[in-house]
Amino acid sequence: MKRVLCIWFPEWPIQRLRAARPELKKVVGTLRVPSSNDGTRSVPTILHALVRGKLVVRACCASAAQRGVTPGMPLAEAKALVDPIVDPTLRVGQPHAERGAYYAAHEPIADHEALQKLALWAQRFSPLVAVHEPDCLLVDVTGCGPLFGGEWKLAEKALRELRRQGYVVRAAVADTIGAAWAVAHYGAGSPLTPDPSPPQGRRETLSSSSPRPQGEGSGVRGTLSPDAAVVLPGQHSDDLKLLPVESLRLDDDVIQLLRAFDIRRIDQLLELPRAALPSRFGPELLRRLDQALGDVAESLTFERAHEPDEATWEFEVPCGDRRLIEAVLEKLLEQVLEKLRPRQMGVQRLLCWLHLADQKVVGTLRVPSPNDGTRSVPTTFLVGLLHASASMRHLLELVRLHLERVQLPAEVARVTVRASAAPLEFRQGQMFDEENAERWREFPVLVERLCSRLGENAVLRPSLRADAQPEFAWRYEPWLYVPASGGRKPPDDVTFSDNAKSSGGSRPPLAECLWRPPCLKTQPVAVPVMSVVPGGPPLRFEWQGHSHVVAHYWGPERIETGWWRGPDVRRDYYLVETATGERFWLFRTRKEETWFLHGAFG
Amino acid sequence: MTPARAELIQNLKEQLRRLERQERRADGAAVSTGLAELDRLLPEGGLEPGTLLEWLSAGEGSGAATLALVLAARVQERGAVVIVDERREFFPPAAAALGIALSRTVVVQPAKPRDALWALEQALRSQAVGVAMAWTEKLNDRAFRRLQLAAEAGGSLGFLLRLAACRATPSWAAARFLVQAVPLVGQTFLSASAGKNARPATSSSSRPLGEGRDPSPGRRLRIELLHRRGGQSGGAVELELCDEAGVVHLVSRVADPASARRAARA
Repeated sequence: MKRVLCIWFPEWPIQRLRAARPELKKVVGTLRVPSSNDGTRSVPTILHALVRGKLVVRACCASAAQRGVTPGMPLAEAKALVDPIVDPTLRVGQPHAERGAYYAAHEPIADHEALQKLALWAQRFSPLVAVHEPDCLLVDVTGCGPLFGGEWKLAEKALRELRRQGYVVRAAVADTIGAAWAVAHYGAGSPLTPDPSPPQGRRETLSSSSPRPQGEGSGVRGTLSPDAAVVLPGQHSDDLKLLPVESLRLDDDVIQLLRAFDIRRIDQLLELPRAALPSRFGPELLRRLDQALGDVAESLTFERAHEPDEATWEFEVPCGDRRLIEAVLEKLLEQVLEKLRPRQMGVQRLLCWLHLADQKVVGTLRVPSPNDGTRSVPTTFLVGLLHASASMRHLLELVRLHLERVQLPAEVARVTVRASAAPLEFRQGQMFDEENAERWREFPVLVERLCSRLGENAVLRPSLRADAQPEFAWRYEPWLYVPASGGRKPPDDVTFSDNAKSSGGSRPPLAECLWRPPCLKTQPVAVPVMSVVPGGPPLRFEWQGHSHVVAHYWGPERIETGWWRGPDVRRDYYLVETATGERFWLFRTRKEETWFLHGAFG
Repeated sequence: MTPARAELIQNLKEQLRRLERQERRADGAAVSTGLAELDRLLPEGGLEPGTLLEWLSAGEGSGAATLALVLAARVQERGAVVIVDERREFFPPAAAALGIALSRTVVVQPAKPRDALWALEQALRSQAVGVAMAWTEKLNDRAFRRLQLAAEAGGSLGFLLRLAACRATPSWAAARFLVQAVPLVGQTFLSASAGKNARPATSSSSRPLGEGRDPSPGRRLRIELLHRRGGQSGGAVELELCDEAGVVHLVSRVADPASARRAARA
């Protein structure tokens, strides 16, 4: 007998917003479904979405609903009813706070992802958890009850822990998915029950602190707290009969049709001739009905958490031999790639830990360190890649290059390799320019190799910046951008087919090409310069022990800039040619009248 | 030397060259420098992929790097430009002005000379690199040979910028050139009067020369072939780097008699 726990998050988009933005927690409105732990005082919240070119209200909270806002209403209409407020936190607690409403866009993808995350969390109750769009989790708890002291305890625990996380939830356990869903939504105490008087006496309502329902095994249904219900095995068809037809997960138009026939409860539906139902209400109704009653099986797609793509090796005796460590890394890398291969994934970044053993050597015997026997200091290195790769040979080479740089002050006790994976790029061969494309494919390999030995910050991509001061006229960025915390993407993929001239970034503002030296000193070097007139051009200067006579000069080019960077920069640059034809870039500071050599036209 | 002997030597040289060429990757013909006189000095009549070229400069400001960058811009269509810049003096705006596409440029800043050589070798060995450039002063035989083999394996062009003091050391490069600046002659201070029209201070660069009437500082270089693999050395070319519409052109100069004589002697 299958048992299913359905956890329902009423008004999930609004709940998700509250969870994602804690600062709104006390602010964003109450749910239309009142609950024991819901916020009391808050600003109405209205979520809107674009439907067929129109902005309409997708979800709203209870206080917005009180003011006449309903889902599906055009956004403009809602705004006419309730004023938008920009920052709800400023207004909370103020008397006029209730006048406005907080408007936000509905984000269905974020909703889904948040629900998926909760599904993974819910795996603590059962390994099989599915997301049921748009706002439910379905947990297959078959046989899991006894582990938690009974299904009611399990449901209660789930509710308690979710409430602690700030969610408003309702839950039900039943034999079928349909029944669990129906009872969670329309079961005891549900505010959504259109018929406000569920039959009395059939259901005990107990607060969570009250004693457990007696005689579970004897077939008495138990309802634990107002928000959780357990339908005992085999009892679901009886329970369902009393629920409204809405609990069958039907489309709105079918519901409307049923309403038109004044069919409000499921038992009314069951009294109708079964054969006539599909022709009147469509095939969906019968399928849903059978699913709820358990006559037709319904399957779920369960969420599965990814195992971290990780492999570890423990040395029996700590080891200091680099060749051995390298061999172990190779083995671990193989294991990690083995995990990635079926998913068509490659390694984007590879984090390697070398846990060093504590060095405590007495004679030839190793004794554990006094405070903690397993204490070890990890040495880590991060192998970054420009493109995800699944090539063992390439990755191993990069790991080796990194390993070369690692200092091992002690022997290694444990080695761990963890990959962060990314889908492999499969590029289709091009019919033309095949050879060029093939060559460019080598480019990431080169960058990764250089980065691995020299470090990411030694392999740079220059880009020009619009700044007159030469020192700031360009910027270096690491070719291999390895984000510290993730989030930012690596620099744009290099497309090599474009015209070289246009891809060179903006050309410097100078039309002439020979005005800037290819070699710029990292710091301007003070040089003794002879000049006839103060403020005049240089005539002779000393550089590297030689006296250079200025035969020609071009200038001055005045560069004044950077007051926001600190002291003013005011320089007169001269391009000078010495008697031997060599060219240098000199400047004189305008304030102190001192000369510097800034570059050589090498 | 008898004519028969000379012919024999010529034949052997030809054979040697053919043998060497077989090792090399056959992809990509030599790229013209855009100047026939310079092409003639280069082995295979142009910038041939898979070779090393040495550019020796007489002084720090003699223009070897400028010339190398201009030539690199001509072969960058074939692949990335890698600049191994151990001294951290490479100035990207100047390179961009000389036509280098910075978005495909990799500047490597190694900490040690050993790493610099390693990086250069890796770049030369990679097929994705069109030209790799480095300032290398100390280069022993072994390392030099390794670089040359790497360039042959990867089919990329290597430019080594070195000081003229290295000219006595053996070379594994396909050719070794000495780049000398030719001083402007017959002209007085080109813009000796420029000082007076220095513009009032602005928050950016103001160039009195940019007014259109001042000549751009085009410069003349003398490139002398010191050594070329497979024999014949000697020969020099004088060229002028001048910018027209923002693009540097190499323009040949009729060599003056003195340099022609020197070239003949070399």
